Amino acid sequence: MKTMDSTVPIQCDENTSKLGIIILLGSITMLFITFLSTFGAMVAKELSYIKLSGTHQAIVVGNACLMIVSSLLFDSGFRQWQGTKSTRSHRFILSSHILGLVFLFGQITIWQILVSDGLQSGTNVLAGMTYLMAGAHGVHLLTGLVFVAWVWVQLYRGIPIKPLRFRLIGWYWHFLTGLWIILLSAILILIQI
Amino acid sequence: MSEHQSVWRKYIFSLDHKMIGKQYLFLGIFFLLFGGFQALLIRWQLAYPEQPVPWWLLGFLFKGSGGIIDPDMYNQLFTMHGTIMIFWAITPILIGAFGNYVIPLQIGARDMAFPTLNMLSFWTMFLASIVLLASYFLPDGTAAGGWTSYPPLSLEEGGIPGHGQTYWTLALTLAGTSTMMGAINYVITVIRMRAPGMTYFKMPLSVWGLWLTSILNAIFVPVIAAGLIMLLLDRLLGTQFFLAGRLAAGGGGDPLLYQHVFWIFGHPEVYILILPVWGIVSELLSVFSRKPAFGYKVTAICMCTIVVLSSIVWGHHMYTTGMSPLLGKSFMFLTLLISIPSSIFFFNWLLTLWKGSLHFKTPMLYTMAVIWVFAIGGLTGLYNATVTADIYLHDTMFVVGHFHYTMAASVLFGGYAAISYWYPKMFGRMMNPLMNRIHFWGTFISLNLVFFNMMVLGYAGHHRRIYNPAEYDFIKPLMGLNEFITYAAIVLGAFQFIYLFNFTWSMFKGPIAEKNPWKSNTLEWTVDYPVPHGNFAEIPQVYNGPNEYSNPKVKGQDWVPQSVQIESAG
Ligand code: HEM
Ligand SMILES: [Cu+2]
Repeated sequence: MKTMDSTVPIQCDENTSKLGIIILLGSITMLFITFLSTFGAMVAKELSYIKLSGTHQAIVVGNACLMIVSSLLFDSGFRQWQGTKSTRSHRFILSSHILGLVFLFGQITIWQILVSDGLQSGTNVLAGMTYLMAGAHGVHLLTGLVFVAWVWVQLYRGIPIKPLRFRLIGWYWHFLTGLWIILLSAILILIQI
Repeated sequence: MSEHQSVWRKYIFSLDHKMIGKQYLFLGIFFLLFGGFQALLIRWQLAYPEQPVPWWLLGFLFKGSGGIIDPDMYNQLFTMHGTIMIFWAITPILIGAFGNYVIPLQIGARDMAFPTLNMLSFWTMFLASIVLLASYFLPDGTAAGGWTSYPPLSLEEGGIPGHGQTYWTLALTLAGTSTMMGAINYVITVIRMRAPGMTYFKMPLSVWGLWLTSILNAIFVPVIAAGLIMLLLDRLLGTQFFLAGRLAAGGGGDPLLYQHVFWIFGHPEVYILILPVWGIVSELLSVFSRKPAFGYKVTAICMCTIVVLSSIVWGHHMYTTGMSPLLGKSFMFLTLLISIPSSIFFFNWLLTLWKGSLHFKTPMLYTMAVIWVFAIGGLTGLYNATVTADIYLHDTMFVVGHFHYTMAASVLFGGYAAISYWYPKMFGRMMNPLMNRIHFWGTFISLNLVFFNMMVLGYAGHHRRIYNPAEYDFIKPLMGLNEFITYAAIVLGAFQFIYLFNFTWSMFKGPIAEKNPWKSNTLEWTVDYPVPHGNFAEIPQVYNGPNEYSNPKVKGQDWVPQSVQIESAG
C-alpha cells in the first residue's frame, strides 16, 4: 500500500504485505475457531443433534469439491500468467470465479434443503451454528469473488497487474477453500459423535 | 514537506500516523469525559438512591422520570460507563493515540506499514462512536446488560427490550473491526519497519508493550466478534444459541457458552489495556531515574510470558457458574502463575528506581502513581483468583475496586504520564508543571479514596450493579461510606478539569518546548517539532539500547540518543 502523498517514501515492501495478509488470515481463522469451538461445546453438551442422510452428505461434500477445483483453477491461471504471460490465463481465472459462484449458490441451496427437511436454525442450535459458519464463510467468499473478478477484468482487458496483488488474492482464495474443507470435515465428524 | 496538502488530507483524512494519533486522542478524551460524567451519576444513585439528580449533574436530563434515575436508566448508566471507558476511552487513548504516535517514531520508521488502513481504522472507530451515541436517542434507551452483556439478560426474551442492545452490539463490532485494523498495522510495523540496528531488544519497552497488546488484539478481538455475532443473531434472527430452559421454546442453547467466549476474549482484553501502560511505565521510570531499566530483557520476556498466560486463565471470571471443582482449581493455578512474571517485572520497576537519580517531573509523578495503584490492583487480583475467596467476593464491589485499580487507575495515570511526556513532541509546547502537580495530588488522593473504599464495601458484602443499596438491611450501615465515596468521586472528577484546562491552554500558551526536554534517548526526540509527515529526513541508524542513561562511557551528559554511537558521543 502506498501513501497518497508521494513525497513520503514508505519502507513497505513485498514481505510486509505478505505478512499483513498472513496476520489478517490468522485473525479470520480465530473467528472461525471460536465458532467451531462453540459448535464442539454444543455437541459435547448434547444440546441438539443433526442426522444427515447419505444423499445430503454427498451433496455437501460435492459442493465443497467445487471450491477445491476453483482453487486449483486459480492456481493454474496464476502459474500460466507468471510463466509465459499466457493470454489464456484469464479463462482459468474466470472459470475459477464461476465455480466460486456456483459453490456459493450451492451452499444456499443446501441450506434451503436442510431447513425444509426440518433442520431449523431456531430450534436446533447445531444447525444454527452450521448455517452461521457457512454464512460467515460465504460473506468472506463474496469479498473473495470481488477480488477474483477484479483480477479477471484486468487480465481480460490486458491491464498489467502487480504480481504481488495477484499472488495475495490467490492466497486469500486458497485460504477460503482450506477453511471450508476444515470446517466441513470438523462438522461432519463432530455430528457423528 | 507537503505544504500543498489540503486541509482535508492533512487534518481529516490524514494518512500521517501522528495526526491519526491525535485524532484518536481527542476522540478518547471526549469519551473519557462522557464516561466520567456517567460514573458520577452512578455514584449519585448509590449514595442518594432515588433522590433527584442535582442541577450540576445535569438533573434536567431526568425530567421524564421525575428528576430521579430510574432502575432502567441506572442499568444503562453502568453498562455504558463500562463500555465507553474500556472501548472508547482507554483503547483510543492508550492504543489508538499512543500506539499510533509513538510506535513509528520510536522504532525509526516513516509511518505505519499501511497508512491507508490506519486512516480507515480511525474512521471505522468514528462510525462506531456514532452508532453508540445514537443509541442514547432510542425510545427504550441504550444497552443495559452490563459491559459484559451476558445473555439471557442481553437478549429480548426475558431481557432488554428495544434496540439499544442491538446498537451496542453493532457499535462494538465496528469498534472491534477498527481495533483489528490498527492491531494488524502495529504488529507488522514493529516486525518490518524498524530502523537499521533497532533489534527487538533495542526497542523501548513502550514499544514492546504496545506491540504485545496488538498481538493480543489481533488474536482475541475476532473471538469476541464471534460472540457478538451470535448474540446479534439471537436478538434479530431468532436463533437460540444462548437461550435455555423456559426462554427457549423447544430448542435452546446455553448462556454459559457466551460467558466462555466473552472471557476468552475478556481476560486478554484486560491485559490489552494494561500492557501499553506497563511498557510506558518501564520506559519512563528509566528516563526519570537516569539509569537503565533494570532487567530490561527480563521485563520484556515477562510481558511476553504474561501474554501467553493471559489467554488460558479466563475461567477465573466464572468460578461461581458451577464449573467442576477440578476445572476451577486449574484456572486458579494458572491465574496465580501470572503473579510470577508480574512480580518479577514489578520488582524490576522498583530496582530501576533504586539508587537512581530521580527527577520528579510530572510524567514521573504519574508513573510513580501507576506503581502504587497497580500494586494494590494486582494484589487484590490474587484474592479474586482464589476460588474459596472469590465465591464470596464475586460480583461484589470488591471486584469493582480491583478492576478499577488495575484498569481504570493504572491506565488513567499511565495515560496522564504518556500525555504529559509526549505533549512537547505532539504539540510543540510544554504543559504547565504546577497545574499538573496540583492535578496529580488531587487525583491521586481522591482516586484512592474512591477505589479503596469500594473494596471495603465489597468485603462487607455490598453487591455490584444493584440499583438501591439502601434496600438491603445489611448494606444500610454502609451507606455512609457510599456517600463518602461519592464525595471523593466528585472531587476526583473536579480535578480532571485542571488537567483538561492545562491540556488545552498549553497548546496555545505553554512555553515552546525544546527538541528533547526530558533528555531522553529514544528516537522521537531526535526530530524537531513539528515532526513532518515522514518523520525522519534520513532513516536513523540505531546503535544503542533505549536506556543508556548515565553511561560512564558518555562524557559530559547522562544520556545518549539511540542513534549516536557511544564511543563518538560527548
Ligand atoms: C495481576 C493479577 C490479576 C489477577 C490475579 C486478577 C484476577 C481477577 C479475577 C479472579 C477476577 C474475577 C473476579 C470476580 O468476578 O469474581 C478479576 C476481575 C477483573 N479483573 Fe483482574 N486480575 C489481575 C489483574 C488485572 C489487570 C491487570 C486488569 C486490567 C487491566 C484486570 C481487570 C479486571 C477486570 C476488568 C475484572 C472484572 C470484570 C467484570 O467482572 O466486570 N485484572 N480479576
Ligand atoms: Cu481475568
